[in-house]
Amino acid sequence: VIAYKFLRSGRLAPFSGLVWPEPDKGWVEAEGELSLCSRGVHACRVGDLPYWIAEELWRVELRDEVVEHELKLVARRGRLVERIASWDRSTQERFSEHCLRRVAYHAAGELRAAGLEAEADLVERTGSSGRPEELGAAATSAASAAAQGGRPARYAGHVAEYVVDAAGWLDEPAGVAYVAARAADARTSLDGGGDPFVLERELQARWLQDELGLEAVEP
Amino acid sequence: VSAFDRRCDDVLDVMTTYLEGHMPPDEHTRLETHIVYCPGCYRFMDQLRATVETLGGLPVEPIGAAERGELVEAFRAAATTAESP
Repeated sequence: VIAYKFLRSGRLAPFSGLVWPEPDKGWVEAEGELSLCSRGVHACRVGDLPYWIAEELWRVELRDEVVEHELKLVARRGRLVERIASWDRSTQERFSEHCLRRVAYHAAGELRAAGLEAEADLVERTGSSGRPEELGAAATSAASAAAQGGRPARYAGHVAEYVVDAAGWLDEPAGVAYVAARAADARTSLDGGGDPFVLERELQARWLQDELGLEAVEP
Repeated sequence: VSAFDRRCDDVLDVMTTYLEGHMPPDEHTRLETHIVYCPGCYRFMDQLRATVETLGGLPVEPIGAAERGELVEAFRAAATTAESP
């Protein structure tokens, strides 16, 4: 099975502390009974990726037993196949910006639902075409105006503050992606079923798949 | 709040259980997905793991029966005091 794995710089696994062998330099193998948590080689399907973002993205080969689990695959053996070079600093910045604009989309929707049309317009406009710092300033201004209103307005202002959080976290794509999912989850005005947090993560996975040209994983 | 979301307080409370490998699989995964984006909790995990590893490498010194008895009594007394209204 070919799947994906995020690692920290230097092929470092963030939780086990293991430095993975370079491609063609060996396999990582779990001993004993496979455990979903501590024993096994962990990897991602495309939909799992937004939950595990780190500096390096690798294509990995999994062998022998491969078990599907919530947010990850667990296998007996795995090896790095190749680093996905297009997940570089530039793509990470574009991903962060995409997530920031999604936070703005949620904030504008919530402001509009609370009757704050002018503030919603401002956040929406800067969210679609402004620079991140302009968006942060627009959201700060909208949150200040919302704080003067009634309870729905104040809540919408609270959602607008997620934009400020996200704008300050652009260097950390994992962080901005999380804030986008939180902003979606904070919406009171979203239509449709499903967990908004999970749906936002699915959108992020689609962005990564399209931009990085990732194939679906078939365990 | 989504079932997939965790807050720092919740994560810190169960970090020892996580490092000892006693956490149910779903909780384990959700804790790790928090650590991915939370530098503070990542640092805490790293420090706690390093502390456990370092202390785990120290030699175990034998304790005398008298000292052991005194310690047990002291713990019992402390527990009784803590339980008092």
